[in-house]
Amino acid sequence: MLKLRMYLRLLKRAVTKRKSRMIISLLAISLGAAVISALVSVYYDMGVKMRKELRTYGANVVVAPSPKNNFISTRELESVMDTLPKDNLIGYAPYIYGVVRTGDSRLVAAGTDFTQVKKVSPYWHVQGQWPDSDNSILVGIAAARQLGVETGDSIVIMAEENKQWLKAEVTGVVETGGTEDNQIIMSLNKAQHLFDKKGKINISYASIIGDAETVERWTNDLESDLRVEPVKKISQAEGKILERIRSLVYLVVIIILGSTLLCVTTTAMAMIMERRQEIALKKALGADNKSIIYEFLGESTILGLLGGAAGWAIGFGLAQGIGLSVFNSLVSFRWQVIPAVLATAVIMSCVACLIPINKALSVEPAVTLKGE
Amino acid sequence: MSDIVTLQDVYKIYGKVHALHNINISIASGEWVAVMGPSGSGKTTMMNIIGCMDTPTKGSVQVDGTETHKLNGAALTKLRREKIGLVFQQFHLVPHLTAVENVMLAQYYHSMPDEKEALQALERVGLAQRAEHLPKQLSGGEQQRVCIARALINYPSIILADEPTGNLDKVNERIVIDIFNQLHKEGHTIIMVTHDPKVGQLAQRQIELDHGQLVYSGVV
Repeated sequence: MLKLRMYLRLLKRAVTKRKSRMIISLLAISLGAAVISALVSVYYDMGVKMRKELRTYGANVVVAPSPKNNFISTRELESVMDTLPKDNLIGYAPYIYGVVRTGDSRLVAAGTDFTQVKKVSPYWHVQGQWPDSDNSILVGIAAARQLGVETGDSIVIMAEENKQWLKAEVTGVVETGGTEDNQIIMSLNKAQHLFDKKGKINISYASIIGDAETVERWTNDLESDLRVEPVKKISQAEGKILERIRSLVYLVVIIILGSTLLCVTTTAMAMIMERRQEIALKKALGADNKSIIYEFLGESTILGLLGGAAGWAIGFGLAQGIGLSVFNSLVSFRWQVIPAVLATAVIMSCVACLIPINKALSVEPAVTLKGE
Repeated sequence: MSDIVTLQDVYKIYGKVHALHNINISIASGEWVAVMGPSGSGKTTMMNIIGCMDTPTKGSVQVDGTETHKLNGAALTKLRREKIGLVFQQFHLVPHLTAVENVMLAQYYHSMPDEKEALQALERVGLAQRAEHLPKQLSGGEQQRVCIARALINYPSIILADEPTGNLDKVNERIVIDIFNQLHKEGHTIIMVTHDPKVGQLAQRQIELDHGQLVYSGVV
């Protein structure tokens, strides 16, 4: 007990009375730990945040009719969507399509739920306003050029199949980079009425948060005649992006660990050179190698703990900055990061001291104390 | 009295240089011996060998019944820890430890630190009031007295002092010499390297080395 107390006293003195050198080591460890803490904090949240972010690039699940049917009833669609985890379902946009004529032009018209489209396909760029009634429509940018219409114009649309027609106001011109650019898009209700397909849709696109495997599992588990399938290209691309970002995080962590290790080793080496006389004296007084190793490892552990604690706090702040600037939201607090960062800092600090400790053990008391 | 240190046909050779050449010395328990000689005569080498910080190239060395020339580094450290008290010319105190902690350091490596006992050792050298001071807050004489207290704390068989008054003014030299006188009276074995003939005359016996060879050994 007395020996332990003296050991702790020696460590305390070594850390508190030799501030300048300790501060340099502490800074190096804190900075390394801060970057690692920030990256680990972001890393834990990144999966969820990135998947949410990637969901803004469009749907990742398609709901199509069974092979025998051409249509899905809206009720059937709702019951399928109800079985998916609510927290993970961003939205689902149903579509019904038909061929229409306006003037001399022949076009595809789509009916959809604009509220859901905004959730599933937030990348749609609308010049003007989104439709807010059944009598207002969006026109794709290419279709608008073809028809010579712009926002505020009214057009007459006639369904080719049943010759039903309607007059609607163009509230906006939409650009998606997809087939919608060539279409006229109206509310689902109005399109079903126009095409005489009440309560029916052709297809639905859903946006669900989850990795490729999870989404596939959910869709496979559904008990329905409908064909519910993940858009593999998107799911797999998401997986690849996440994997690449994760690899990047690993790489950065390794580089940070390496540079911190180098910095702390250099400082510790300089510290050992400064303390050669002290080491020689301790050896002359009878300190064996084990005692010298314990003392230096003890000092390194304290440095690691202090540097790790400071680094975690700084890193958590950094993570919030990264979260706000990249994902527009704060990174959540995870207590697991604290022991992970502390352990990494302590290991880093101790490993950095191995070469200097080896150097300390080779100090010859007779030679060093004589000042040679 | 029985011999506590015996050097028989001891040589220490560095390349072509004979730092010690055929040294034969015996020092009795409780004896105060002054080792003298010019710089480079081999005094420090001999002290290092007696103090278990070095081993001879040839010959045998016995310290308090143990043949040290047969020991490895770890065994020499153990013997040094248990049998030898070291006093240095440059004091060699750990700068970030207080006076009492510097004394306790020797206890820590030896067995068990005891602050009360360390304070008593400081009191013995007249430094009880300076126990909590750092070395930089102490004068040279005070630092040397802390060094002596540290050397005594583990009740060593032999006290090895390398120029203990070499860095001190007259007043502090007197204080330190008085402490050594007192230690000798109490029966401690003291082997002291000194350049100063006055200090050397205080010992019971003088040993003189020159070019690594023993040129004189006799009672003052």
